[in-house]
Amino acid sequence: MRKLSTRAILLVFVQPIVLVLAFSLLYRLFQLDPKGHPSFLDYLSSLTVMAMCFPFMVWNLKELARTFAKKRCASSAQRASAMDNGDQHPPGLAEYLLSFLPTMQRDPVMGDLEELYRFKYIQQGRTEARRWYCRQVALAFGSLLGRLINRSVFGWLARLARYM
Amino acid sequence: MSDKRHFLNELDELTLLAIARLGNQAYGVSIFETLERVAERPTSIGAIYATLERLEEKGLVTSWQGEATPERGGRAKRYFKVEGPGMQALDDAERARKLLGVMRPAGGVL
Repeated sequence: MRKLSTRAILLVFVQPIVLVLAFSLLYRLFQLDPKGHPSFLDYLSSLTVMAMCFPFMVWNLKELARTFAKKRCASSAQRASAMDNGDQHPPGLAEYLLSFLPTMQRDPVMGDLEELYRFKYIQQGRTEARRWYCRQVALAFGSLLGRLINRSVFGWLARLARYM
Repeated sequence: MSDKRHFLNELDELTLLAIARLGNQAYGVSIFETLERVAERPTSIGAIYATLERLEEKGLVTSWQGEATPERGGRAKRYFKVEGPGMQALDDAERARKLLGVMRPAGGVL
């Protein structure tokens, strides 16, 4: 339950504050005339930031809803077991970083890592499991995002070369 | 079937072999464990998914979404299956290795 409360506080209070701060900072940075009326570019930059943040906010809210649903549906015995195993949840920040992966790979990668994390937790303990999980997240970023960037850059160059 | 030949690197080949060995139970975790325990090839989940995506783009494997389980945080599995061109690519790689193995000198060094 402690995990759930921490996550709920992070999502409901901290995330909007961080987003609003980022939003206002970018708004100030891109505002052409700070004393005058906001221009079209000001709105465009703000909208871009919001559009970038929107998928992550939706994903987080979905995760929260899923966690609440799981807790509500569980029987008392399952709930007791879940509370005992509450500590077996992967590191929150590393898990959050995985939400930046492409949509196609996000769910299977996160599911696989969580499944393996539980095995590691039982076999090798909390510290080792957390270390392993963070390392896997870093490697996943290297492999999957690197591939995505490569493909988009080289794809763009190939398209450009076709017209030359 | 197209005549296009597909060339595999080491991880591509091991991943294809793992999927073929696992049959209908080939998903991220089982492939990862097979590579680590059977092939003794340490790797990461990210590297496996990057490989699987590349193989799928080439048409060597296909994937479909499986069931969600509580130990996965309610997330669905993604199962993989080796297709005809994938088996062909494995056969080609094996044949090439056998041919080169025959030509290897007895001491291992020229």
